[in-house]
Amino acid sequence: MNQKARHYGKIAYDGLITNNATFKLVLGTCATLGMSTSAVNSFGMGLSVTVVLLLSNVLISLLRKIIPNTVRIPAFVVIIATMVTLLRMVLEKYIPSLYDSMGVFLPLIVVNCVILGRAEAFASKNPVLDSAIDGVATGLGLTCALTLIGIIREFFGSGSFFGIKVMDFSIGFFTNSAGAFFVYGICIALFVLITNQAEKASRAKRSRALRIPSHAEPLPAPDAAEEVK
Amino acid sequence: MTTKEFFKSNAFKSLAVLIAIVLVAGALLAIFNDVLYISDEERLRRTLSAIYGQEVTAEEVTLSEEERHNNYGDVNAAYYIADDGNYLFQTTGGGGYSNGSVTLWTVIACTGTREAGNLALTGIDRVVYESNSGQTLISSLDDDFYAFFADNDALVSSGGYFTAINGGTGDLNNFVLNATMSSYAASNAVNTALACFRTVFVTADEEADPVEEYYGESVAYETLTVSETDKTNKYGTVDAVYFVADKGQYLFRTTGTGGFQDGTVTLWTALTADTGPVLTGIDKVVYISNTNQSWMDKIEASFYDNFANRDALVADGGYFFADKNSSDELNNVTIGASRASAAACNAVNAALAYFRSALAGGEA
Repeated sequence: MNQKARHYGKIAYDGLITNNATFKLVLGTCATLGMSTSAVNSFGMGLSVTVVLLLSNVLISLLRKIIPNTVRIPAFVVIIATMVTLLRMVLEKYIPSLYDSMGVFLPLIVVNCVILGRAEAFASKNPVLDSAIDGVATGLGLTCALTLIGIIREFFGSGSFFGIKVMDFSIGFFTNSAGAFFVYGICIALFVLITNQAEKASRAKRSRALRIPSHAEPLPAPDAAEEVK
Repeated sequence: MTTKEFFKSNAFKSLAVLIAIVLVAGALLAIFNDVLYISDEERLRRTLSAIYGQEVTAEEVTLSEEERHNNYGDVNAAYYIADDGNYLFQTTGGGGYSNGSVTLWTVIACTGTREAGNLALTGIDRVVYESNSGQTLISSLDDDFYAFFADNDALVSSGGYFTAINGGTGDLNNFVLNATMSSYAASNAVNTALACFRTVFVTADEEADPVEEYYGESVAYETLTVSETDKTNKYGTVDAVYFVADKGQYLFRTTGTGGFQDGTVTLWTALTADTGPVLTGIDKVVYISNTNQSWMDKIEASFYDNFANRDALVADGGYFFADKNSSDELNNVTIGASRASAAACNAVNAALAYFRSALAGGEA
């Protein structure tokens, strides 16, 4: 049970941090740059991608033994497109404001590399539960990244936080494409820096645990005959 | 390969699985499409809620095909809002960047009722963006731009129309720098709603006398039938001709072609004539409207006066033209609006050509 929990935890950690789709794999950049003008839009986009990721991963994992290898890509695309179209219908019916604000980026989720990437790299090779966890974790990793970029751009570009005006000062640069690239680049740099530092610290901790205590006897030197041999 | 082998082959299996997935996906989408279908009424209700910020009761107003179009653009839909007695228009204004357009919702504030015949425009309540075609800088039109339309009720209620001229000084000039063409299309969309309301809703029962309006007094006149063969000439189109016997004038409403982006300029031209009739000159030229002439406001009153100061040349059979490099006496051009000037000259020429061919019995 403990091993299983660790296994699922590793999948989740990989999706969220180690293989973060936005900051580590730099996938789904079009939606990231286009939708991150406000925190609400970013959050909505992230959740939409998470839902599609979860559903498509589960379906593809379920059908992985039925779908022949030769037609797997078209089959994945049909499944993903169906899930995205369903999501569009649901959003248009029940959350029209989000549907309107997402505009063209909603149908473009079909071609989001994150979804097809996870389908091909994970869901088509792993069981349903693993794939579901991977879908949710990858989606949430993307949601967090998008929302962070959205918060920064909205704060500096419009002087608001999740639509609530917090200051009169604003810098228009952050709301345009160049501002999106700038914030995205800074976020990637910071994320890589933090994860690398964390990894170094973790490696140092592990090596400290494995280090031979200093008071231990030194190993005997090999004898000369043996060395020649 | 035998039939049996084909059905056992990988190619067939792949095809069958793919077809099965497509069929299941199609069926699923069909079911959800039916369950989650949004009716036109629901869409309208949502749009109205977005415009008003609350639920309102709207009644669609039926407009004829002719009433749907005017010089500024097209009326896509018109609604009577029972809650406040105002009228809501969805209009598309042309003349934007790359010949594109902007579609807006405009709430026209008014008093009285159409049924009682005392409907009067009091201003614009609000303007809400709907969509655009080809306007890459439409996001530059900020909230202040749209609020401007609703902040000039006095000028709007006295018959004004909006312009979008970079450097224009008119009180109803509304533009956003670097997005002047989109501003122009948006202004046209609002003007379309205003023009439709004024011509169809307010003056439908009692249309103002155009000749009386032109002269500013009551005059006796005769409406001449525009000859179908001479109606259109190389300068433009003759929309209406009136003979004002008291003043010895022929009043023309003409539309000149050849403007910016193939647009036009419509003018009143009053030609003076002796009995015969023999053309003696031009009394006055008055601007009416234009299509796509974003620099029209640069043309000042002196431009129109110039037409009336060339009587000898006009009587001699001359036609006006707009060439910024010419010093000819019949050249009449405003630098910076040469295409609009050309269309205005053509409007005057259309009246002159019609007079010479249809009324005076042939070119001089």
